[in-house]
Amino acid sequence: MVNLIRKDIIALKWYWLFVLGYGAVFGLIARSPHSPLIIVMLPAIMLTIFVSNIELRNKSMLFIGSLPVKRSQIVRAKYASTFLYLTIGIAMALLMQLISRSFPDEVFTLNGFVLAIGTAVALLYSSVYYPLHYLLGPRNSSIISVIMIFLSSALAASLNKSIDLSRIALPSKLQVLIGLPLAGLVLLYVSYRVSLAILSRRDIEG
Amino acid sequence: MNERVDGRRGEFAIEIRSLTKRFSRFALEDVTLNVKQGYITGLVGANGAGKSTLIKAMLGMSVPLAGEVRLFGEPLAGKEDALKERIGYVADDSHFYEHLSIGAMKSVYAPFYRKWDERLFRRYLERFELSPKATIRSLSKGMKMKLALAFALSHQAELLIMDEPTAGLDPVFRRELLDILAELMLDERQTILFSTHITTDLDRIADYIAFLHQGKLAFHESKEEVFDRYAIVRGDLSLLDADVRRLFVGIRESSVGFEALTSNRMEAERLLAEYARIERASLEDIMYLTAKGVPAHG
Repeated sequence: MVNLIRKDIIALKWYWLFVLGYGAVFGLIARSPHSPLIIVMLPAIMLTIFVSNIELRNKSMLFIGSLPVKRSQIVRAKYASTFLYLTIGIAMALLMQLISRSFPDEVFTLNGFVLAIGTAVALLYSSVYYPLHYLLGPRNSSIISVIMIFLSSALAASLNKSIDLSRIALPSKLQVLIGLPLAGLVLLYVSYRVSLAILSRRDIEG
Repeated sequence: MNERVDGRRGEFAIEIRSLTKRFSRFALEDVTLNVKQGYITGLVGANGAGKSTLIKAMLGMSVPLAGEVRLFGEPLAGKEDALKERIGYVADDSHFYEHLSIGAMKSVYAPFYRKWDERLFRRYLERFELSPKATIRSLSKGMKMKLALAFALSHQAELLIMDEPTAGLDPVFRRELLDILAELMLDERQTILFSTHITTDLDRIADYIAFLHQGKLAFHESKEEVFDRYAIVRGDLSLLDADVRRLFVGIRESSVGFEALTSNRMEAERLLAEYARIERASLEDIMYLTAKGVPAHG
């Protein structure tokens, strides 16, 4: 599984720069109250799409299918990558917060609540994306990707806007901080089982 | 036949049992094929005969409706990772990441194989005049095929599966590729399955021929047996009565006579030697008359 994740990391090559660039734009130039949240979840969304597009363009599933791996490992590696991308998003957001401290007038609020929402959205994204990816095949995934970006952005923005931290009592806040990522994890696991069931019954196609 | 002294002769590298795979417009029906270890088996058939589908089933990339694939005596299902480590696969087209350099692609590929031999890989790159710094996108079709071959041969694979490796290649490289395969076969444990519709390639190197026609295995025999058994018969139309027609697998009739393929050369010679020309059938004749010739009976 590690080799499959490493494969995607190498294949992404300069696409990493896009993610870092977007992080810098939202964190330093085009700041908004949603910037921390966008930076946290952005790598998970962007890199998932980039990897799928690279595989689609090169018909790489035909190459991957010939490698000494099981179908279950292919699926597991995709889901595990979500955590890697999420970690990168969180690290980028922390870096932006450190940088923002050099500019006292600028506000960049990265708190547990933002992290919880960002994590939940990233996990939700993967949970919806991968079963569709395996069900509809790589060709339709590029269309799915476009729709998913809009859905995720809309969801994240509405979540961030509608919940006011000051009005939430401590137990509720804790519930949100733990509950959201936990719900995301449960959803991701269910999604993993669904993707596995789909791929085990389908041919590997480019 | 090209006999090799091989302690493992008689074992099968690939066993396909009653494999059925159906698509909306095409089906592989009940294919049973045993590929002998230590030999080159040529998988021939017209485009769309099911060669690539069968190869994908061998690699566990397609899910059959029925049947079983065994590699090196073990069922593929559930052991794909261990069994495929012993296979080198060369596809009909490059599916590597085009934007990567050869060196970067090697970093993707090599860790999957415990027996990866870096020195051997470097040697193949040198032999094929491939620079590790070259991006895959910049390579010609022939160079990409060489790269695929370098990858497939650098992890001590016991079974090399090649899906139409010579399609679209110039004759010089096709000949070079056949020379490489012949060199590989000096190692008696090596098995090669080579799918192609360019039958002259197989005339040169194959030990066994498996012929797929419309999703069914028409025959799988040693090359010599095929050439002994099949023959082309050419003669006058007046010879074609019902008994004679029964001898033929496929027949083409024209105003000047007929050309037919028989799978029973001895019987054809007994009945027609005095009246018709009976010649050795090439693999191309066999493919052509089986696929395009009108069935001579039933």
